[in-house]
Amino acid sequence: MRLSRYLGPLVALAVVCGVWEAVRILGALPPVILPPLADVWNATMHEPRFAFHVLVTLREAFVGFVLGNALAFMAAVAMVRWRFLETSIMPYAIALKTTPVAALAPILILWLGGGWQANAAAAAAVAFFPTLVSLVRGLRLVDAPDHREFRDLFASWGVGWIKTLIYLRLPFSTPLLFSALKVSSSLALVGAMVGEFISANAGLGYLVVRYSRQLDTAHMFSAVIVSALVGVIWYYLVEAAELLFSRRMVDMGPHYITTGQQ
Amino acid sequence: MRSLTVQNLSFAFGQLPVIDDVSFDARAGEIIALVGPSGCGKTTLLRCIAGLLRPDGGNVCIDGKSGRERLALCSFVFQRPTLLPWLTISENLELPPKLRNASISSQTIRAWLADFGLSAFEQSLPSQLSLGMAQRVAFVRALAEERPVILLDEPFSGLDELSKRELALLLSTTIAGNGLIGVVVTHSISDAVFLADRVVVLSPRPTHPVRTIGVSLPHPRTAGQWLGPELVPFMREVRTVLDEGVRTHAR
Repeated sequence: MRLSRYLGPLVALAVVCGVWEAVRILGALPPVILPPLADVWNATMHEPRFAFHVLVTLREAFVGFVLGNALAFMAAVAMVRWRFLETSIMPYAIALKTTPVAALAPILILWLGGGWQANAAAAAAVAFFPTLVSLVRGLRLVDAPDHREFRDLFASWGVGWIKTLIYLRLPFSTPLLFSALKVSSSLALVGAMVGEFISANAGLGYLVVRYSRQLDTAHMFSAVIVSALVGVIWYYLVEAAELLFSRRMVDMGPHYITTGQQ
Repeated sequence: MRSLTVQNLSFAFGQLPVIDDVSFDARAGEIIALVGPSGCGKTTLLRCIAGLLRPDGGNVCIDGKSGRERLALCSFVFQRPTLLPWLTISENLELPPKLRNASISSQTIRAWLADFGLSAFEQSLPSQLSLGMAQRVAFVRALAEERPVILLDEPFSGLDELSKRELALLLSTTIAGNGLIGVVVTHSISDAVFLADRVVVLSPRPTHPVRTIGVSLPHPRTAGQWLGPELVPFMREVRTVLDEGVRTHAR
């Protein structure tokens, strides 16, 4: 079981690399479109200050992730507490979600200057929505007919809203919250890189743009692959945190949450 | 002296009248069963007594206290165990006092769990318990609150006959033995007669008491009485009154 868990992705990677090299050797695509994998590897290893560029993007994405999620958390709690806020704020949150981050980034750069802060703000803007929507739904789980007895139980104990939030609504929402955090972590990285496409002098997005202008495909691929790797690592870090914080929830499976019974 | 008085209680969901002028009372050590046809408003009535719903008219008084003051005097057991799935059994029992900034000693918890045959499950998660065991924990949680009135909404639904009998015996012993007042909502005539000192038979919605039937058998009830012949006359009487209520309502 454990072996197949690691073997599967490795086999898939080997197949992709094999097809890549086969297509290239057969001459189906020119090197400027599909560079040799060895060139991509060399570009990654010999790019000066690669780690610096990764850290620049990570800083923007992480600050954006924290900021976007903190705002989403506060907005979700307020919306669950005062329903009229949901009808007032949600249309604008949806508008923010449907606006492409590429369209939003120039405005943020204009407002915040061309530094990392604007890119972090772009990351925050895209990280905000998934958490907001999932958390509003998660915090309201105990209002649904299936779980209303839990809310009534707290009411029968005379527990106030804040304690009900902390001891009941939040724990109930953790599976949905962590799903949202996983989506939000990838989006924060996308937001930061899109910001860098438009205005930056460092970061993975900046590298992609710089090398695309030089038609240096091997370097472009190396930046893209590294950013994907960073995204994957981040995703699994959130998953590890989920296991740590909600081990008991995971143990009992989603069925318990739905029915309240085994 | 502990007492529960329900006086001329009425309630409507918007324009839909659900409870119409319900009155009854109970003394310490007594169990009252509320029996009625499905959807008549039994659970709504229990929620009004608990203060989870605000009645449109009438009054509920526990130990002479009405309004919000009475909320601290009753505990509620729901149809499902409603144990918080991320907390162990002992943490579930510690939670209600913790939320009031009070505490319950681990000895007290162990004693309660031992009384209900749950000693081995102190550190278990609710998902590791059967439904019957989980419902027993829910009873313990309500009883450990040490409130004079315990309200039970269909507490045996979904349980097999043996678990039901075991729980009913525990309830009969604990409520009568500790001088508490129990109000049980059930759709099962046999459960009602086995548990209660008096069975309040309710009409279809808007519900009102058709008749109250006394079950003249001493508490605690015994395992031999479960579905036994001495309960049959009471069960027949409850069934007759239930039918009468439905017939009168249909006219």
